[in-house]
Amino acid sequence: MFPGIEPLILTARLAALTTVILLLIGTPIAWWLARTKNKFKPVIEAVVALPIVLPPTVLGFYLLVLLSPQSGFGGWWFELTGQTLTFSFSGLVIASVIYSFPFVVQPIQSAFETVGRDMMETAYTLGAKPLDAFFTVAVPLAKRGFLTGAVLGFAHTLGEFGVVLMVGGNIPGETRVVSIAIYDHVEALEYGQAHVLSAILLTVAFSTILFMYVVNARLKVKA
Amino acid sequence: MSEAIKNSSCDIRLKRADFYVEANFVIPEKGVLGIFGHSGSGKTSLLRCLAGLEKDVAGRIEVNGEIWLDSVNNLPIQQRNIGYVFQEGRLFPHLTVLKNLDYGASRSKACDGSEKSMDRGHLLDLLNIGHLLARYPFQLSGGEKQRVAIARALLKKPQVLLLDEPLASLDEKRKLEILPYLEKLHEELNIPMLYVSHNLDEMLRLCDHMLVMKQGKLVFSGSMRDVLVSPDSPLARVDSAVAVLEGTVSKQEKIFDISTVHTTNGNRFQVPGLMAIGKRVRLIVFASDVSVTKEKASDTSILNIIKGRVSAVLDKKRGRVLLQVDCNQDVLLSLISVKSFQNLQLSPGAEVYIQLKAVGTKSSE
Repeated sequence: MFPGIEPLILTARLAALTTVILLLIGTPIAWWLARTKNKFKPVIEAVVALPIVLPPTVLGFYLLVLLSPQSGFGGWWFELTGQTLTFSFSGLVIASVIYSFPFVVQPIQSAFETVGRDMMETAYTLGAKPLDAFFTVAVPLAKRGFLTGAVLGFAHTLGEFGVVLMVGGNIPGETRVVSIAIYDHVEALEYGQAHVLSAILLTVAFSTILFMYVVNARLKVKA
Repeated sequence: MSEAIKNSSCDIRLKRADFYVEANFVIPEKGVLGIFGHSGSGKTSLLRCLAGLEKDVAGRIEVNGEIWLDSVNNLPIQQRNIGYVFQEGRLFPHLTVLKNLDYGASRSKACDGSEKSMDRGHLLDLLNIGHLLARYPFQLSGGEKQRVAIARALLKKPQVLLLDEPLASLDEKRKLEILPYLEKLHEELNIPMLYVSHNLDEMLRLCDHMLVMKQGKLVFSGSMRDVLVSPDSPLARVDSAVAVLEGTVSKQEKIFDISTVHTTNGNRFQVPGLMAIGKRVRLIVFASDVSVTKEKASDTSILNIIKGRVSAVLDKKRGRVLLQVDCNQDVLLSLISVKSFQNLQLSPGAEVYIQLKAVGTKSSE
């Protein structure tokens, strides 16, 4: 078997799982942010956006502290599952969710903002209950935001390096993602393998983004 | 139960930091109740309160004997059986016309409204939208969108239809296109329509009763004619039985001290006084200064005789009739006696010559 396949599969699993989780928890948060008049909204928005500007090592360091069995959360997880969150795939998923959070929430939030109160009100006057109106009006009208969020979340997780290194280390099959594998190969002067993995990541990243732009143009809802 | 008298009334108060809306009125069993007022007078808020779109409304709303709002109950929007037509139509852009229509229809509980409501096919014919079903809203003209929005609201089989300035977003030409549809609905619908507008012409054509809002308060309510001519009506002084036309001065006759004004619709009026050629003026014609003949009088002292068609008979009361006469889209009002009205056998559609005893002018600028 091609030696680089293991990190590739691991990375794909991590990115896919992270994207799904982010769509599930990011959507209600994006909806809340798009609609709220709460005075603390800017604070929440700043927290959501923080991973964009924070150095990955800083984020990774705090996550390492939070996830370690000595901390409250890490310890609770250890008692529950018998496994540590640090240096494990589960820990990597949690770290990726936080790391890629703004990339999913922000596009969905701005898409929801353009849907506006008017359309929801209209649905209500036609007899739709709030959840019904959300799924039949808000989500379809915000579908480009969902696509952008999902693609950016996926692509951003693919390229994760610093956070993974801090939280997950370099355990083959468990936490050794492509970006780490490339780093290892370069360190070991194995430029051939580094080339192969880099080219694959480049191709995947480019195709994903290209896919987003092509589909986004087609999804446009004409007003 | 259909024989029982079912009351519909609305008595609400809405308090805002910078705004207060208060109104108490009875919703007629059918026909069009106009809600007139300038922008910011609270007329749209009133409609929104009735629909349940505003929070913090106090008071009592009862429709067909069902309590929508009182000190204990506050029925959510979804459970108030209303049809709401917004100013901009607000069709769902991601759905075809057909799916837009079905959106409300499929969620309708169609309780009491059902026996009063109109057959779907008939409604689509009446609004002339049957050929649009497969299209998306962006493929429709403004007037078509509004007609679809009206059909969508009605297919929900509502107990009351609320129209919030449905023509305001349309240009004059489209307005004239859609008004006849609203008039047809007026004739055929068995539910009350509440029609919010700041345009008195629309109101003249459509409404049976009118509420006048001013600074959040209901200042007058009554029949269309009462609103126009009652001494205590706020509109009686400003707009009562007065037609206003826009025109441009096209000719001066110095010997007679008379100017000729052309309206945009091609009618010519001779008015006293000399005015600069090319000047835009507003012509003000009181209904009481307008008489009607069936044949064009030839030997008369009256200078302004214009051919037109009776477009509406607005009200017959106290021996007088207010006629609306359409002269190539310039709409004039004429107040004549019921006796003349009967002698001339006038009815909507009748061709007439109107004679203007006096025309006032006002500079447009």
